[in-house]
Amino acid sequence: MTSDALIMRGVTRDYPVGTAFGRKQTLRALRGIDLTVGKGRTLGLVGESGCGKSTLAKILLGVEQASSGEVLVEGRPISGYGRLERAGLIQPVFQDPYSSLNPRMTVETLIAAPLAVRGIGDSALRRRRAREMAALVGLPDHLVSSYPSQLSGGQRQRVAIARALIGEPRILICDEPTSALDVSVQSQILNLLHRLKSELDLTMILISHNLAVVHHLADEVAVMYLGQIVESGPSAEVFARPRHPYTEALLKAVLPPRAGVRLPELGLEAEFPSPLRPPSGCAFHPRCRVADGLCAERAPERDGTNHSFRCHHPLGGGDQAAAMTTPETA
Amino acid sequence: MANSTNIAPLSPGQLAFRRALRHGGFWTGGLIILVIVLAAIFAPLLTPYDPALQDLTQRYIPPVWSEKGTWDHILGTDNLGRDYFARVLYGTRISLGIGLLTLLISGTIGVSLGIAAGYWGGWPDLVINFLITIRLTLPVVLVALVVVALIGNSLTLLVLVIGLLLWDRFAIVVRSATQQVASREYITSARAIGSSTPRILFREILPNITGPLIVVASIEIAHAILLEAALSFLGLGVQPPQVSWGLMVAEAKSQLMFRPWMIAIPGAALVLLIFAINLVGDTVRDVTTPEGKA
Ligand SMILES: Nc1ncnc2c1ncn2[C@@H]1O[C@H](COP(=O)(O)OP(=O)(O)O)[C@@H](O)[C@H]1O
Ligand SMILES: [Mg+2]
Repeated sequence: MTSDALIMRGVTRDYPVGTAFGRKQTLRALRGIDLTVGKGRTLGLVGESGCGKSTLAKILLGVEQASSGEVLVEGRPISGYGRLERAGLIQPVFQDPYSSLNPRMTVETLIAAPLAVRGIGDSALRRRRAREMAALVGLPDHLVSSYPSQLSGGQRQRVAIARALIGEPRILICDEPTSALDVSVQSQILNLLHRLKSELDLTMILISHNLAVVHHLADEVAVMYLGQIVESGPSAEVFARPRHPYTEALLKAVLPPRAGVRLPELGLEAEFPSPLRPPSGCAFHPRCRVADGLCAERAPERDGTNHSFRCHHPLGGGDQAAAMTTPETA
Repeated sequence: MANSTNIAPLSPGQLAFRRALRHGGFWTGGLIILVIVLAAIFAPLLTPYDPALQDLTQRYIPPVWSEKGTWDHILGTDNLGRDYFARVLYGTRISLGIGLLTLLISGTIGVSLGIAAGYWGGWPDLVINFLITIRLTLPVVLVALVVVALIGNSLTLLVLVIGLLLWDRFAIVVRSATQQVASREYITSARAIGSSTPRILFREILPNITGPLIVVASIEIAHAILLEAALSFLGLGVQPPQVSWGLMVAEAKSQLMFRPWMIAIPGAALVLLIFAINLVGDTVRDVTTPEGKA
């Protein structure tokens, strides 16, 4: 279907890892991802640290390969794209602008690099385009000959955004673009992304470990847990009526919406499990407030069409009522 | 922002250089090296004598500061009446030349292997580590001696042998520096914009490992110069009529008790050059280390 920018079907990703005793083990970072992002839509991808969000992003960027499953970009398998063709189509904004910009390059060189790599224009043209992009993302003109170490975190992330967009990609993958930034500049960067997304008519995946970050920007939300998508659907619906207890717990964590207040604990008892030893049945059951014997035995299938979830005991859709009845951990 | 908008920002390299200029050691070492390099280049202008020209009427003249010294031969003459100052000057050319040429060979080999091992990991890393281990089991001086003794000696062979023996430290240091840099997100970013592998290696990684690279280069150039001197001293390096400091010490060794200055002068030149190179190398290490965290 040509109206879908990105489709993932049954995507897994295994990493071979050595343990302390030299035994070879397989870490399954992604355990069967099904995902569809329509053209021009924004998908919010949410989940705790370590659940596989960055792995998914790297597969979409072509920097890593899926171990199995299918990844379609604008209707074609991602492996069918050449290096430069793919780069012209999908671009990233990474989490840490202190590490994602080469400290030896000037802002101008960094921004113009995608054009240089693809051999577009001569160096004068590329410099001019880089300056235009700098202006577009709100970087003062005098900073273009600076080095990253001379910029603030927010300015660096603007450089990263300009670099991502200079080659006019169709799809932007933002992997926690604000989590390394000061709270005060987080919303500036998010607003910038949102503005550029609609101005340039981009398809966007916005990854975050914080539901609040994606709340206003995402058309759709996918909630990830231990390498699987446990709930996905239209943003408004998922936020109003979470069906999966994990989504509910994440929502509870962001309920006090006051800026600057440290996020409360998730209210989840056990720790995030190791992907090396995933729990039996539903991976979330050791931490789930409604889990029973069935959950420990059998992994739930995906249920629902538009708003889908993987849970044996989906929450009834009673708005936030369900969340309110859980005993508070004072 | 209250940034000074007119001043062009300094690159990390320029900043490191600024920091280096505040080190006394950098100035001292740099000046000594500069003087030595200029002396090597302009040797014919600095002395009227041919370093190989024998004058048997003028043998064993002591340096100017001793009682029988003369301004005609500032550093005296040797057993064949050759001007010692001219010999030290022209010896500089051999030392620096061999140091730089071997550096070219050992640096190219070591950096290529180190970057490949650090960037790709996996089996290239295993193979290259194996090569490094083999290289480390070979005693440098012994191997050099054997090769030169078997094949005969020429300046070219000397450069080749030393260059082919001294790449190990380059490989080890560059490998671990590359591993560190390769795990940084800007390398992922470079791949995402479609950069080719050579572009990633030369534009993204290499500029970020120059600090450790310069430090190793300073160590290895000193190493090569000392090795040349040692081999020449043993008669297996530079051959007459060419001049080398090691050769001068060798030719003067019978005079150790009677004319110690004949050994002290080329020895001092060698020590001074090595000392200066080490000073500069140390400063580079000092000023580039904190940068890795920036
Ligand atoms: N290159 C790798 N080698 C081995 N394990 C990896 C690698 N990259 C990621 N992982 C593992 O995969 C899991 C998911 O990681 P990641 O995708 O970075 O999570 P997230 O971005 O959601 O925090 C983690 O357990 C992580 O340790
Ligand atoms: Mg991540």
